[in-house]
Amino acid sequence: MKDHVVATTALTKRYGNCNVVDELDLRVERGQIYGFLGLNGAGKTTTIRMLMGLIHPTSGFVRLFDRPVPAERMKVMRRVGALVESPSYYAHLSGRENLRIIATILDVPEKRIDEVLSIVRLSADAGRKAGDYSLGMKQRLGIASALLGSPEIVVLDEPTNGLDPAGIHEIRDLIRAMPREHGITVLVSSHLLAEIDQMATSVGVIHSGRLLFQGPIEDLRARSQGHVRLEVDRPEVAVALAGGLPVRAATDGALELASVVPGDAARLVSALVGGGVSVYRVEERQRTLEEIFLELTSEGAAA
Amino acid sequence: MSRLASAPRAVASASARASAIGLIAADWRRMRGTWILPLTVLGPLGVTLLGVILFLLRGEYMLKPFLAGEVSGWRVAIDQLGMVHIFALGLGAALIASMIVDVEHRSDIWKQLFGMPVSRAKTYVVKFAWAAVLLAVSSALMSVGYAAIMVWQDLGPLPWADLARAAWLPWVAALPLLALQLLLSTAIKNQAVPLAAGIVAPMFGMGMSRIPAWMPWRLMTEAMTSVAGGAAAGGPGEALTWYSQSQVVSASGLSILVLVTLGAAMLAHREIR
Repeated sequence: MKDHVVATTALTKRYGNCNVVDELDLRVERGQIYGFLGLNGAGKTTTIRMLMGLIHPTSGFVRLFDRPVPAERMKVMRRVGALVESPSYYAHLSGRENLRIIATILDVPEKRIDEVLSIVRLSADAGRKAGDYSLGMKQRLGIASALLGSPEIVVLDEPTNGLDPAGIHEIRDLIRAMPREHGITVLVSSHLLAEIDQMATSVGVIHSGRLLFQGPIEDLRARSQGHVRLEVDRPEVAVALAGGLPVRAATDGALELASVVPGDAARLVSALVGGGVSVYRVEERQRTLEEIFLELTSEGAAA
Repeated sequence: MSRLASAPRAVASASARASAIGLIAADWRRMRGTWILPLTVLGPLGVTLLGVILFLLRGEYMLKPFLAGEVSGWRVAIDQLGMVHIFALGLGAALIASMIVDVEHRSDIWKQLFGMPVSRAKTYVVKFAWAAVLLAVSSALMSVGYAAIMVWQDLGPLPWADLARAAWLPWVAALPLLALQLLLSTAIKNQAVPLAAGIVAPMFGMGMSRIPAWMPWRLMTEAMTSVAGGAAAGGPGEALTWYSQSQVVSASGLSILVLVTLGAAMLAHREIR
């Protein structure tokens, strides 16, 4: 049996008539960077709140470190660090003083505050009021709070929300370093496929409260692969000219080449032109998260 | 180099859950820099200054029965300020209860706090305890104010026993109201509602003899009457159902137990969104 840091069983949360989280079976293994991917409102934050024992599941179970939550919340939460949604901070206190409050509760030495401050590069601004921080600094303060207790798993809910590109880059590097250098498991949620793609080792895709996909990032990457789109004058003739290339006629009369290998596109174009088909436009299309969702959802419906 | 996870795991597991001391210390840290601490001093100072103004305006009239030897100097002071004192105490209870949880509401701290190994019920009890301590400081300072006025107006030797009773009995009687206000302030995020209740309710409740004497607002009037000299201090025609000191204490104790348990249970089962 694998070492699951997070495991949920048929986790469900119902608000009114709507299952915001629907029969979720989440599995996060030790050492993973688990990307929890879903559009806004898909149920990510609700799930994370249930993991943290902040809200109670309508049905189903949560286990952290193989202990039930919220029943044994007090036993396991010392091993969990979290940044749930927007960072929480006391605006009237300095960054350091904010961390000191958490350090007092978790019984962590003062030295550790300096460490986390330097990890998130907030040492120089530690004396300023947290209320005066920029959004990126508040976010980093939130991550510092999550790391303060030297947790075994860090749960970060949309940690790059509202950050500028430099800030996003910084946080991404930080997250990537966690398992590699320190053996911390990371559960990070996002609504951006590209972001998850750049840091996660494993992915769970949630849509309308249902887990559509869960597995290694490579599997999802294969699905999200782009294609080359060609607009031609006679698509019905064109498909026959494609030879062995994976070409199909799209519904709008264009051609889709399911390969982004440069040579394939060149060969197809030359074959088409040689066959007397005019090529108006050739473009590479990346598949958006929405398209992958649509595919996953329609598969889910068909199955 | 393992900066991310440098604290030894053994230490982490040894203190797997937050101690009460930790919660108490953390609450102290987060109260610093808010208005809650200056307020505990400003409250009694304000009431004392009001007393000073009263004596300056109509001191001659107020002092007449004392100079005639009919009443003690203590009675002169407490008769003038007693009602203001307990009304300020009721207002102070509402303000302290609101301020001690408002920071948490406004900064959405609950989700961070309860994402840690922190007992929700314990958190609530610690907050009540802190609020009670702050109110005790205010109450003690109020007696200092009485003493200052008595010395200033030359109202005879300081009645230490009365001063001590004026500090602790109204405080004990105010605790159920504090517990009720903390319950409201924790349950309702918008502090305008509990604050409005905390300001308006004492105005009616403290003067009403129709409501049972154990009700939080009436209880404070009962305590003040006891401090001012028992049933004899009541105006003519008042019903002779005043609570004794021990009745005030037991009614308060019972109410605190019920209200704080209720509040702790509410916070413990609350959905933190």
